[in-house]
Amino acid sequence: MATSRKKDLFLQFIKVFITCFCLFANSNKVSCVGTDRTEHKMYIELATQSACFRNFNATHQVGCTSSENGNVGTVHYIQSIKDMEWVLNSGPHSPYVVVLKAANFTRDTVITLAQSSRVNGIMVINVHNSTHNPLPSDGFSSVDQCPNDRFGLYADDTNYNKCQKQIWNKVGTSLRFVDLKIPVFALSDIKDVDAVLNKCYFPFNNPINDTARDYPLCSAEVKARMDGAVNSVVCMRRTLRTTLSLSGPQQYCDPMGDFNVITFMQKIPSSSSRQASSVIMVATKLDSVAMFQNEYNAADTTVVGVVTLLAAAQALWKQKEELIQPHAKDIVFAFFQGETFDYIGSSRAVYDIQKGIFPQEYSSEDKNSVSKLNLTHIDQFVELNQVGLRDNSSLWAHVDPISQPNVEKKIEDMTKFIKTFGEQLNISIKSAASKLPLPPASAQRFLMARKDLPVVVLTDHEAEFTNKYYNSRFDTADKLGGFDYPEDANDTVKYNYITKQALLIANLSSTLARYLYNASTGKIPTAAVLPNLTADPLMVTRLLYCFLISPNCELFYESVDSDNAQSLKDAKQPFPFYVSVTSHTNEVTQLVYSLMARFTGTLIDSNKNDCKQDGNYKLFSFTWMQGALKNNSNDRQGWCYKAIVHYTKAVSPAFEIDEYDLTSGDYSSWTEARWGSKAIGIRLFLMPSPEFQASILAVGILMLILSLVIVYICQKNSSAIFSVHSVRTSRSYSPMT
Amino acid sequence: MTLMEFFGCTFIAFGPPIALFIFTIAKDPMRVIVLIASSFFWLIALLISSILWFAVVPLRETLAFGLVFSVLFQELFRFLFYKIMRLANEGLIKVSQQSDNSNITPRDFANTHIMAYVSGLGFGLMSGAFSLINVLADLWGPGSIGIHGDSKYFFWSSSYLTLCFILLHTMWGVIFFAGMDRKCYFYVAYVVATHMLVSCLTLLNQLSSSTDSAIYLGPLIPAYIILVVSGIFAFYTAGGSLANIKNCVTCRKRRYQIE
Repeated sequence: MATSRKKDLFLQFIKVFITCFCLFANSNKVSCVGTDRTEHKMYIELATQSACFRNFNATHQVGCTSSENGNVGTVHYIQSIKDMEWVLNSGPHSPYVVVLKAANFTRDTVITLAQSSRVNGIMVINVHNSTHNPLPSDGFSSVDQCPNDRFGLYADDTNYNKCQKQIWNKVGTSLRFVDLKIPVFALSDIKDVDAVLNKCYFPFNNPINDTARDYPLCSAEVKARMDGAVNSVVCMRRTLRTTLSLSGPQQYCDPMGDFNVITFMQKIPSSSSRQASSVIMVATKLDSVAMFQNEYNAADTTVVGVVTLLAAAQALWKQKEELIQPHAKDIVFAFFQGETFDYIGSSRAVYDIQKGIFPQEYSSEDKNSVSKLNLTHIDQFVELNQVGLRDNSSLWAHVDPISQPNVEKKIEDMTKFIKTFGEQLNISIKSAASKLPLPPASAQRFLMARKDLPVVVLTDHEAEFTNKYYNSRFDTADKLGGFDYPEDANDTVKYNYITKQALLIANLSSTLARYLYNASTGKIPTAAVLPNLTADPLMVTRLLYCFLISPNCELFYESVDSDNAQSLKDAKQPFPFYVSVTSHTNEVTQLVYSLMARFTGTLIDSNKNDCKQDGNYKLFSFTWMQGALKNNSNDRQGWCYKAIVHYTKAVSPAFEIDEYDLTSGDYSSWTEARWGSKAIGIRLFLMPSPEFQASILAVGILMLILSLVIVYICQKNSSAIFSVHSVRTSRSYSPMT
Repeated sequence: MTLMEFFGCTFIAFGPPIALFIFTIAKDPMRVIVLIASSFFWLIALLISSILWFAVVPLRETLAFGLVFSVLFQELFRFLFYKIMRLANEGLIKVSQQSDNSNITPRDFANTHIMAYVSGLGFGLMSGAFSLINVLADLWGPGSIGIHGDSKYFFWSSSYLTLCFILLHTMWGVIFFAGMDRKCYFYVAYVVATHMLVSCLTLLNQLSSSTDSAIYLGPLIPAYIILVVSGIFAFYTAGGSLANIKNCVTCRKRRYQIE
């Protein structure tokens, strides 16, 4: 490591030095004026940073890596079976770097290629159109067929484990959880695809009549160098090891995690305690995953659930006065992060609840925090999973078959009311078959801790997922459907246009709001309160637009503080839903937090510096955001919201408990490898034939030896060769002496 | 993978100069000092040319402008180096004196061509290094040139041209110093003119940079013709002759008989 850095530094030094004087490279045919370097003549650097990278759990490493300087191979574009055969067996110019269409990027193909010693890297074209690069028609999911099974409720249950009743995610490839050992990239920029195919593969490599082309061949250097290796246990041990190094400790991996966003309806300070069964918990997950960095679309997987919950909160808080009465039950909105990686967020929440530090840490004299929550306080748990792609236009209520007999009455009531309120808004909600276990859901972690918790999970599927692109880069708004924007609508029009999907989601939010109102107060909403308990379809459509289509939207600009406004401006694509590592708070988490503060808080008169918690008074949070534009001005008003919205840590307890054995399998053990700042990238270049290279070397060596011999002979005979006239001594000397 | 190209090009361009250095310079400290001093003078010429190039903003993109002035500055500094060598001559002789007998001039200074040759090689080595090292640094990666349609002979051509320039500078050093010593300003004019000519020839390479054939090596031919001519010129200037070579080749014994 150190030596390579020195080498880099040295080369860098040479480059800087030389660029300054570059002009005087008279012999350099490449115009050296400006910053044009020989390197630019030799390489095409692709823009893509969408690499598959490496994660670890307690026992395995998964994902991709390359050698330190990148893997090099001849580019070959797989168009048919013949090309596979070419790459794997017959092609004469191995190793290859393979270019795949989306439809060919299947588990079998990728694993076959990755295992072949003749393949050094994979690029998959991620620019789609129906004729040239259609989506995989059978679906594609980067995660397991039975997601999170080993850390869920049924891990040790012989009747239900391993999805034996129902394989939820039949198209699951587990490719995200395979150790591929070669670098794999997505090419999402049309320019990159054009460079690979039209400047590299077709002009130089495409075999003519099944005969390989002659050198020079177009090759690629595919680099995605990961620092960590083996598994979380080894990697964390290496990271935490005390080292004597001037450049600080070398880090190899970081625990994955972020923050959960928890919102309370009632302000119950820690001086008063909660009653049993006095809290209704509504939850959804906040993250997703896909194969490649930056390519995390999560329309159905995550976004619809989040948006439904946000809109329901907004509606419900309009009826706040009734809901904060002492006899009403408290309502908690929970957004759990890191659920895709073995329930990081929910398992941490349960862990904190059991330790009595949820949602905040308490000191002994603490009277002004949020009253602590324990599991017996929870009256019921409603969770929203994927709710966008409805199976026969209905939603399904799933319950846990094991605990159901204990709480049959309660669950029956819950589903009955949810269905009733749904019907009023033309949403059909059905009960899933009773033999089915719960689908992957945060509620499972709560059920593991308390067996008699009444849980209902709402999803858009009864049996297998209706979403064929669950946790994959294809899970986009247009796959979700119902985004019926008028043709050639610009961004502003789209932002304000109420789509069909938005109406459906808004109705679901209203259903949820009315149900929660009923569950909390025990009252059937009267005609007078119904308008309040109706979600705003305009807000829903805006939320969907901002999360799925472009984060450059007014709603987000209003909701961030000025420090984050710039990163919002720079965002080219929807914010990533990947949970990432603990050291970095996700944009999505921050936005959900701000939006919840807006929807559930009160606007107070304050300025930016005063908008914060007052000493020990931790019950409320104060959130500063830019606010709406002032009239006729580019300045923003600046809003300070006071709300009971709190971040709670979503870091697996595995990394908090002293001496915890990561391999025990109780808690998520996922970590993410680190990589250097220049460790990811692809360059294309021409590879000259070995003969050509060898000839240069041979000529070079020949010239060196020849000149050594000639100069030696000349030097020996110099006095004879040069007869000097202007001698002052009797002996003659020559330049060669 | 193209480490082979890297070393090939390095040996082509710097093999002969290294041989010259090993056998004719390295053993004598005074020559090493003069070599480094002359390299330093070339660097100053480069610095001044750079400043000029940097200052004249509108012509920054015009390669020919910088090139012409660079050649002029290099020759100016060759002249300055000559002057300094002559001014320092007495002192250098004193320093090099190995015996107590001050009547014997050390051989390096007795023959004025030796230091001319050394300073020429110093100029050449430094200019060669600057010509080629940026190209070589990029060769370190896995790729070679050509993906944008450039000729694959780029590195051949660069190395041979660099070699040509190193050797030319050596010849020019000998001719220039002799010209100044003998007040034969035709010699000096020849050096400036050929330097300018060969440098301008390299501009032609830009025109043919997309032909992927041996034609690309074409511009090397005039450069090497000038090298051969200058070589013969320098050879005779330094006191060589065909007869001497014949003597040398035919029989070692006879040489001593003549003496």
